[in-house]
Amino acid sequence: MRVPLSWLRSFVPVLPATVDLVELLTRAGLEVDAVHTVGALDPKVVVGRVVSRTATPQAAHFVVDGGPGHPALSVVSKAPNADLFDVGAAVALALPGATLVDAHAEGFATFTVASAKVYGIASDGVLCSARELGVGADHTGLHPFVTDAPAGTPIATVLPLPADAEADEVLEVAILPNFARCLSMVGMAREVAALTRADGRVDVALDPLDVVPGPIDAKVEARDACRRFCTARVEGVHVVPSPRWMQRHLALAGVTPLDLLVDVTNYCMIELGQPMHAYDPARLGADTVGVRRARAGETLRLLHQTAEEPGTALPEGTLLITANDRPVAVAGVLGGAETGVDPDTTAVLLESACFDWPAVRRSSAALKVHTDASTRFARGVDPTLAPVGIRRAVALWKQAFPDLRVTATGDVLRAPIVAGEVTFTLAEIEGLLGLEVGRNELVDALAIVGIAVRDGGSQGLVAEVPPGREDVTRACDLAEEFARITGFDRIPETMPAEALPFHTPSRRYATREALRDALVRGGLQELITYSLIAPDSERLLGAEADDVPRLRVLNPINVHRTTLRRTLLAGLLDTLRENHRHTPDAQVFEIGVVFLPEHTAPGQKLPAERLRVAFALLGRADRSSLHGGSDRPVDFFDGAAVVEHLVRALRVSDAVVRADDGAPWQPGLSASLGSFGHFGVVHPEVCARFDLEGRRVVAGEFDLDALLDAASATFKTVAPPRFPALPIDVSMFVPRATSAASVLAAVRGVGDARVRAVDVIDEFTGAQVPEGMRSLTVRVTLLAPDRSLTVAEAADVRVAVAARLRADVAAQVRE
Amino acid sequence: MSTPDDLDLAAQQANALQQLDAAETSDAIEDFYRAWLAPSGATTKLKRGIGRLAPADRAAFGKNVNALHTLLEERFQQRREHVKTRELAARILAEARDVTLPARPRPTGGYHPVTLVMREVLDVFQKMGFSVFESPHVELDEFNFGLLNMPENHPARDMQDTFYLDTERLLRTHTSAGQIRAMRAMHPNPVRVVLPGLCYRNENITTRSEIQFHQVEGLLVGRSVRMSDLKGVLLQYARLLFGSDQRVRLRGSYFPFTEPSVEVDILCTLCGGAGCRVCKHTGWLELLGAGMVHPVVLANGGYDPREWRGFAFGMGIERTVLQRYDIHDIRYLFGNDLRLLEQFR
Ligand SMILES: [Zn+2]
Repeated sequence: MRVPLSWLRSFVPVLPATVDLVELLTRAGLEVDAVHTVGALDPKVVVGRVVSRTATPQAAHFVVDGGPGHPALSVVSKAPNADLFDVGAAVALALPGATLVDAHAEGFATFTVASAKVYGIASDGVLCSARELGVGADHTGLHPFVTDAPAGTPIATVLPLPADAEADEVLEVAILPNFARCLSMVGMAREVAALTRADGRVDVALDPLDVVPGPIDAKVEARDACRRFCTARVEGVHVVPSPRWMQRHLALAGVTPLDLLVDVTNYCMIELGQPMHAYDPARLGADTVGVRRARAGETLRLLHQTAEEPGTALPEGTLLITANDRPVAVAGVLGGAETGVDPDTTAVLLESACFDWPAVRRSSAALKVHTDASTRFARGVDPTLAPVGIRRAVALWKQAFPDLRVTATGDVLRAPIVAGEVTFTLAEIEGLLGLEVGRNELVDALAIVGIAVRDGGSQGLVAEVPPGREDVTRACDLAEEFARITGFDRIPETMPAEALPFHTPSRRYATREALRDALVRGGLQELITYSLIAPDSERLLGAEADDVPRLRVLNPINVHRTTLRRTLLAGLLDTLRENHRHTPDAQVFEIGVVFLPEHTAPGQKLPAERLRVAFALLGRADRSSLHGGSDRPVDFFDGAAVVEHLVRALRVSDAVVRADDGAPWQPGLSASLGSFGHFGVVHPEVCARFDLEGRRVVAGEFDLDALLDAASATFKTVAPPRFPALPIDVSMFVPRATSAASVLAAVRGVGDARVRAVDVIDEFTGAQVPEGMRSLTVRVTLLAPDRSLTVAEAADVRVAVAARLRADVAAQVRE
Repeated sequence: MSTPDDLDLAAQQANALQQLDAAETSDAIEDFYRAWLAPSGATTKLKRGIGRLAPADRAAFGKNVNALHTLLEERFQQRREHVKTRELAARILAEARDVTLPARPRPTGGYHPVTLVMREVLDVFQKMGFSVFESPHVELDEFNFGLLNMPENHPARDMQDTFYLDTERLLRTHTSAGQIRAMRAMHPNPVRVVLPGLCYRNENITTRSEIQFHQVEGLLVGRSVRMSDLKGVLLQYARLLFGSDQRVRLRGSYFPFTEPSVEVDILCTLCGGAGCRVCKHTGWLELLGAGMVHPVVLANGGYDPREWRGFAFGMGIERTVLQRYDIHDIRYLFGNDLRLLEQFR
């Protein structure tokens, strides 16, 4: 809502300083997003001092001191009185970006100053006339004035503004849904009056309507969507330009002035908040107007469509205004092209209705047409305004057409309009706010916003809510009105007084965050990627069938964000793709949710959301530097290290690593971790699809929900041994396909309590190794809690281990 | 090194001291020790040579040998200290490097800045007794809107552009969607929870707005909760996070699921209230939206609004991230430009 302060002042003559008004409105819930200024009130219009003036054949070329930052502006002026402004003279200088009144426009218009070339000379501002400044009608030359003020002083502090000044300030106020009443100047004025405690009620002065008999036949079929339908037939009018003051108010409020017939309907809408529509009865060609819902297949050419365009298809059920049952307007949204006023109009049929907001919102959304009228109806319009709007419009037209006659009126009301009542107690208000209010203070504060409070006997108090304040239906609404009017600052700061439940820490949350810490400690960089992806990026992984179920949004913002992800890996690879040219070494991870519609629980509508953790490594694992060392690219075992780190951080006890091939992994270099997920070297073809051709990526993705379920809350330590450990190394040849894990399992299978640890310490393949075999060396660490072990004991264990290895994994143990 | 075996102690002493003075290194010093002072050294041998002397001379000779041993021992200690000190000085000199050379590379990880701020917020509220409650990303229209007092076609739905999966399901536009779930989970007990999470809005992606962002919602329901408690809790939050001189300011606002509804400002964390570019010269920064839980919402959560009251607040995380780390484009956050993220290591 754009609120020109000159218009507001016509209702509330004394306004606080603009900065204070902005603060006041903002704190009361009417946030001022911007203050636009015009003419002399624009801070970019300043006192300039002539530094030099040069006559050119067509104009005067000035160099002007515009104050700090603009010591020597070049400005060209065509004003006939330019030669009266000598060096040192004061001029009204509008800097680029300033808004001035357009002195050349036929009606009221503004323009924004911009740098330009005039007659080949740079002109970085405008030297203003009184009309451009909005301080007078004169546009015959530069506005002369005398001042001691230094160059750069805003002109508003120097020039007196006449009462009818066109210079103005316009507040751009964000109107929240509960402030529908403030989509009007009267509503804003009431709010400002309440907040500033300005005297009196804010109403528009209205003459009684002098109506010649003859009711209008209005057929309101769609009563459920039309609360009130007022009409008036007005004769003796025609199309003329609106008076300049009306054009100015409309233009500053953001509506383009057209002609008096249309402008008055717009003026009333902005002033009162009552949208209206003027039809030409001759073009309407009917004596019956009506309100009904669209039937299948109906069309209408709307106001903004040309005769050549086909009509817009009206979705069935759209609320319509009809003439003899023919659609002539989309109710509360937009009129038709064929029935509005035109240059031949001599009479209008004025429609001033109250449509229910759901119907208008539906039409507006279905047709994708949003107008000033639909904005207001969509938030609710006061039903008492409909006849007021007609009286106000007639009064405004009468100023131009003294012989105007109202020949018929109609007013179809769905139900009598009654004031709302809210029964409440003072204790409710005080308890809700945590503030002692007192009955008198409450009554006084609510009276300011037109809410009367009376005694309700044993029930407590009763608030009588005026029409147009249908947002006030409960005690909490009254509490809000009270706090808004008297200021939220009065509410003290307290801590909750009652016993509330103890904080119950979520172990799941804590464990997840501990894992995040562990991965960061492990040298990985955390990422947060998009939940919405292009399904193609996951298809590049080749891990799932093309027809795997995916959740798509109906209204994606672009083709890259259409579908909820099923993996984190695609997002990580996308990130590497975007980064690898400038960041060739990257070790990243993400903890996030994936969406698996096929796992929706029976009877549930929401899809399964699973928490995952994924990582990806690219580039060098070790880096050389001037201190030595050598570059080493990441390989499978760097990934295995991350996995081991992760498993240890969560203290998952039974997470077995097994060789496991499948997309998107490179066969022979990938593994599964229990049933939690997979890791390994990303298949070179998959890398290539992510524009990482020739680069090795090691990655993994795991079901974190399952890992958290398997995580141990705590664990028990083992006391450090008191006697020395005795290591024995066992070397063997095993068939190539025999995994290290199975070798270790075989050693553990000996079941000797003295075996404390088993590790593979060497792997070897080469000339000395028999065909189809490889050499492994296993270190078995022996320990006893109560004595030092002897070499003989070690030899016994070695024999047992060797036997087991031969039996379980067909090992050729070397002596 | 020759160790004379004659018993001329004066000559022996001169010889020994000359050798000691010539010892410049720890090794040479140890050699000297072995030659003269060790149990197998020269002084021991001299003592054994006592048998070759006349009995009358033996006592004096023994005394002199002992004196020689003591002298050499003393001089040896001094010399050893001296050599050690010199050697250490030399080593230190040799080891000196240009300490302004770059450090050895050491892999470090880092948090996403959203995590840093999110954790800070949750930590403070957990200290204040709020428990973390998480709810789904894909929500029913009913939980995201309807039960929060925003029936179909409600004007407040204009405030949020929603990604729909179908007519019933959508991506939550705010963590408030979890309010009803939290209340139904806790009923009939009082509620004190924070609901963190990713939310989604179908908005144009610009330097200031993204299609996904993180919110933290707070919800407290009890039998005597007041708006002054909301103010007190948020003041406490602001003070724990930004210092004990913080203040909070309420402004009127509108949310369908709270009444009264307010925007809560805190003193600008950059200028302390004096006014600066970040606070647009108002001295205040918008912290979050809040209000008293609307009776309809309480009832939908299972709490009789005649007996129960509550407050709720919801804050965005990204705005704080941008402000705090002076990031001028929100698209960096989920675009994951590693050149930006690595600065958080
Ligand atoms: Zn500031």
